[in-house]
Amino acid sequence: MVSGYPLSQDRDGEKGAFFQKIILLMSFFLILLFTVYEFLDAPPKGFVLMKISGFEEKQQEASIQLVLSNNSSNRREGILIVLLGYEKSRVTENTTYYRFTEFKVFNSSMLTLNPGEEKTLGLSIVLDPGAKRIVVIYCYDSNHIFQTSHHGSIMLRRDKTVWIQTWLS
Amino acid sequence: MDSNLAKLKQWQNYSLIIVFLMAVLLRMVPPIKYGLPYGFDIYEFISRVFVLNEGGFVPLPHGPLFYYIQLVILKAVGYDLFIKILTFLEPIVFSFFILPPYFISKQFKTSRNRPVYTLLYAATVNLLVHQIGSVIIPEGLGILFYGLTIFFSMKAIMGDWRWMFPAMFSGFLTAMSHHLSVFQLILFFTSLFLSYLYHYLRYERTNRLLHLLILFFLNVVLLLASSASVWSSMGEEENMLRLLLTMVIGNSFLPFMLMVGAIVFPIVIIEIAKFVKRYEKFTFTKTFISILVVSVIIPSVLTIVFKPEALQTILWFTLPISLGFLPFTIHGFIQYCKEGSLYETVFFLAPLVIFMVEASFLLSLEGYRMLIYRIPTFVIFFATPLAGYGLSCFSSELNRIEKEYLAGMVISYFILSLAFTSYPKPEFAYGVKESINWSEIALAEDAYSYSLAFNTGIDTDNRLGVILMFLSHRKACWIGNITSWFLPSNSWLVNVSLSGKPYFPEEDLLILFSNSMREIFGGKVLNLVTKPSGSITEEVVEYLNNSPGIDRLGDANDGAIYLFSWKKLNQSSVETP
Repeated sequence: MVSGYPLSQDRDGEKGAFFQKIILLMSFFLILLFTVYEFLDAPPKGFVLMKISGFEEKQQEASIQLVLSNNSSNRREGILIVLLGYEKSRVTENTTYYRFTEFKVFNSSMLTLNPGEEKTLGLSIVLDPGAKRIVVIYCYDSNHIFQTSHHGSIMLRRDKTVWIQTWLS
Repeated sequence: MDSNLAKLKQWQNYSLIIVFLMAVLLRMVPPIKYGLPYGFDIYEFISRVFVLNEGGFVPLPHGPLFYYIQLVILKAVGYDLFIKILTFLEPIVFSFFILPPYFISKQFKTSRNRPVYTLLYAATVNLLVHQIGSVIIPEGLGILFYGLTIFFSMKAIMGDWRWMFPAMFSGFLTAMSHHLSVFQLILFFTSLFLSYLYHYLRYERTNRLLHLLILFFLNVVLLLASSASVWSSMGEEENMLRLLLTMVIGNSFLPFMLMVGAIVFPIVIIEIAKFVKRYEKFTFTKTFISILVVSVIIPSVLTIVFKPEALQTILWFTLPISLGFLPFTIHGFIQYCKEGSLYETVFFLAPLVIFMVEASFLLSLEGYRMLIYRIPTFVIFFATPLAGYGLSCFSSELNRIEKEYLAGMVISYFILSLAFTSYPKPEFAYGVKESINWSEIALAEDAYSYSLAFNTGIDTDNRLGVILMFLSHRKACWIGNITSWFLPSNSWLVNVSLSGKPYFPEEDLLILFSNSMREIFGGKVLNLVTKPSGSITEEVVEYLNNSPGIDRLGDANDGAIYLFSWKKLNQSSVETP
């Protein structure tokens, strides 16, 4: 018996030397591959955020202030859609899509956000009798907007969409 | 001959560098992948550092050392650089905390041992990757000192008894770092004291061993006193060691069990060691098969009986450990017993047995048994030198180069499976998503601003609650009780996740909502594993999106902020659904 292993020249010490090389080198390369895979699987760090910064409701009009910010390194070109919801309006969602049913499109317009840009928007909305809620959607992939009719359903890809809503008095 | 020796030495150095690179690579996966500190505990801990930085008082339930080290860094470099150091530099520093088992392994007095395998295990075993470096938590620091204390104790037992003094100092630092690490150390020294006392009385009445016994006993007293000082001055309500002791004291059978245990334990230890020494039929193949069967079947059955929904999590961690770690640990232990003296054998056997007793005791306690998940990291860290030794013995038994090649390939995949399981996705981690997204941080920031503007509390799960604490320096009014470990919070999200039935709360309330809470994304409203909690179902999301009076104030793809407002609802003619 000797203290420590590294320089022992007995038979046991030589046995397993090839095994040690294989296990260390192969483990290293397998773990290197694993880490590369993990890095490639990284979620996007950038995101678009929409929030309400102010809201005022008068008799037949509502004004809403929004902040839209593009916290990514990509330019976002999308559509801002203002919807009015009535008694039977519904918002449903699954892992892929949002669906807005029985909403009336009040307005829609193109909106571009540069990387890191934050825009404050003021919207004035003339309210219909019977309108219950206002929904504002920003969808930055216009190829994935599906509308069945003016009062029908609108479907949008959820990973390219942000939306807010407020209920009317 | 000299050049061969030089080459061999050079290769051994390269081996250590390769293994250490693996350790760093694995621990740098989360910071590079997410660009943020990994795990949500760190945000809660750092929120306490911010309070300290502002001169406030905050409980430091684990012990003060970790928090004050972070505070020194924060004061020295400022907020921005502090966060970068926390995210990118500290995982590299924590990678060095895997060294104590390597130092222990180097103490093995046998030519077959290759300590580099011990380092390989410490670098790649999933629980060690996760707890030491991937997440920056007091436990990592506690485990460093726990390991160093064991190393110094080993040097004291195998050589000069005066090594017990650095062991005592390191033990004190453990007590200052982490409550559970010191609890394991108390058990470690208690087991050594009892076993070596029996050894002293029966086999070896030397002054050296008497010195050691006195110091073991003193060390246990010192560790208990240090721990008591931590919980009395730093906040006792969150100290888990105090909780465990209270629970133990509350057991009326305990004095009797302790008395019997103190007598029986050392006899059992010595007899097991003698049996292993005598018994000749332990081959690696038999060990491998029996360990694989036992270590998969027992945890699976216990999980199915006590917590069936955690089965995937248990299998995720235990299968690689049962394949790649445990058989080599047992093989190493058997070989160590056979080659070493009874006196040397006790050093590993006594703590391992007491850790098993501790685990069984925890499992037997209704309401506390989920704490079992905290024990394996300490046991594995302690057993790593044995696993490395087992792999060394296994490699020396390979008699042909083809066998070495084949075995090397197979075991490399075992090592990969150990490393690969370090970062489980929510479906394999009890529904817990450990990473935090940038968008969730932005949403939490907005939720805090809204709560100040509307003067409302914020209901969210523990995962985002700690982000709120971090961003607000613990000023946010978070509805949810992080200090209550065994009772579910009476919050809207917890109640709804348990019942599946949404309702309108009695007061205005902000909900900081994330996809990580939703059933369809495999998530859960996490209120710690010790509390019951479920997922947010589609019915609840439908309620949030379509109920009058619930405004959606913000959206950032991964989550949203909802506001329940009675004021607006009361003005409305629409009835509450």
